[in-house]
Amino acid sequence: MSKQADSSICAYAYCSHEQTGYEKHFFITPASLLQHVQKLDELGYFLEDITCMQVKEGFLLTYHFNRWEKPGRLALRVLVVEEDKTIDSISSIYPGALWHERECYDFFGIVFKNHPSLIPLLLPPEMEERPLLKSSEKLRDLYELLPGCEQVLHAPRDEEFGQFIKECSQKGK
Amino acid sequence: MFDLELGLDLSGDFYTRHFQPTPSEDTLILNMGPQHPSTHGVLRVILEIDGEYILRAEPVLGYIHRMQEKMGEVKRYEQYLPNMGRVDYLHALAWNWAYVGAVERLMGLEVPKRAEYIRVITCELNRINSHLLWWGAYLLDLGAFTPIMYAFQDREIVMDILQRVSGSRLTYCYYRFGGVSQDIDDIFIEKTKEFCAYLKPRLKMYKDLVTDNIILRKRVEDIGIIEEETLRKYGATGPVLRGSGIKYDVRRKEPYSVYSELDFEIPTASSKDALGRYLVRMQEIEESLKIIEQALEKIPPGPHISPQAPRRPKPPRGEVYFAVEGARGEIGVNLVSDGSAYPYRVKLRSPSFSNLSMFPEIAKGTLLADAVSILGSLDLVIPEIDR
Repeated sequence: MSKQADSSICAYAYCSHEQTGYEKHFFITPASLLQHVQKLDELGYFLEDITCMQVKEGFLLTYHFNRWEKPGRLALRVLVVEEDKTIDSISSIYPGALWHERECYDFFGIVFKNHPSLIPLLLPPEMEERPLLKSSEKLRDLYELLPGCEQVLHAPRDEEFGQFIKECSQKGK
Repeated sequence: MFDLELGLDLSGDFYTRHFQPTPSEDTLILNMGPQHPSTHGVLRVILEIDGEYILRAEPVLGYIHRMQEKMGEVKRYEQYLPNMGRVDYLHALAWNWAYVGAVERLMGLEVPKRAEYIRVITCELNRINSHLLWWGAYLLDLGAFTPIMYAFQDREIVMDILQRVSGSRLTYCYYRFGGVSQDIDDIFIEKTKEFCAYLKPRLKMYKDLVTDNIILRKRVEDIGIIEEETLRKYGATGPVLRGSGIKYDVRRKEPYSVYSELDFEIPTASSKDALGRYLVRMQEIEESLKIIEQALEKIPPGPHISPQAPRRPKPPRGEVYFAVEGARGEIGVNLVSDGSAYPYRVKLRSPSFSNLSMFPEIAKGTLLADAVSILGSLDLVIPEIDR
């Protein structure tokens, strides 16, 4: 399973599964999210979960996907900046995302565009506080948390993802 | 809606108003729960019904939400460990395992072989216990009172066995980073073997008594059919997935610990209905017994915890995902560390959450009485959904 056992934690593509539990992960641009998720849907992936994390650069949304036949956890990572805090909802492709997105809205206040009912899921409706937001002294840079991803932040690797999809399609499911 | 005679506001709370903004002439809005006995805990489902048929359903969550993920960030790694027994109280050891597994993976900590086998034995015992409770409670929902008494009789034995090593009977906190808190002894092994020998004829009896019973069959056959596409789009896992004929089990597909050394089957059922999920769970009890017996044979001598195991772990920076197969499906812990003694972010992926999110889709067009059967067949543990 592991293709690069030497690197401790890799920045994108080809992770070592034993060390991180991920087969691959990709930093992509927010605008291309829907199109990439659509590709994964065609390849037969199921949605494991959606998680969010606050860092100095903004909010890192991670979409975990996996497959029944040939398991290998795949993560799509999207960085949402503090000023914007909106992203397209993927619930039109994966309806299972509805609740995960509502959870992210609850905990972080991220607004998912075109979500049919973005109302609180776990927290009381009158609550305005976002419990998982961190105070500025506790915030870390993304590269401190995920070593080796400095370049990726400035130039998301949409092309690499495209390459991966192409390989998958050629090999067949 | 406003009742002038009584002077009451009948428009309902936030969620009801959101579910049905304008009153309807022909249909009825019904709240099932949060105190309904068949929701096992505090789950609320808002239903729009036409006669006895469900037109729309919307679960409302959060009644026992405890913000486990926030607690993860404000407690040290070892302080957070007892929380794991409270996420899913029925299969507490699987959550224990998911969390310690994530920390071990992050730190690159080796777990001794003996500890891995102890984990397999205890986790499978716990799985049997979870399935037995589900079996009893599900049948209770469907109107059969006796099975839950049998189930609790069996559960008592398992709880005694696990109490011997872990010190608790339900919300276990037995696993440690790098091993388990204490070694198993001869009495544990002997009692576990006795239990395996005891449960097999009992399972046969349950089959004759309940599984082949026509009254049960009428309540589960062709009820709550879930198609493959729905399962995939909602990320369902566990017996709910295998009940629709998909052979996906984390123990086999993403092997962790020593499961790859053990010989067991992944039971599946092709009927896709509540009966399929029922049969899968009953067979899983048998498979778990098989695993326990093998593990008891194979268990090597050695330490029960790694000598390098830290009391207060400080994992290096990085991110890991660790998945285990719980009684309800794939449990995942996604951990991000900034190198300090406190996790930076803990994400708990709970299988019941994804499984329940399918409910609006499955319940559409079914009878109200069948909705109870469908909810039960999903095997929900509400604290795990609400976290």
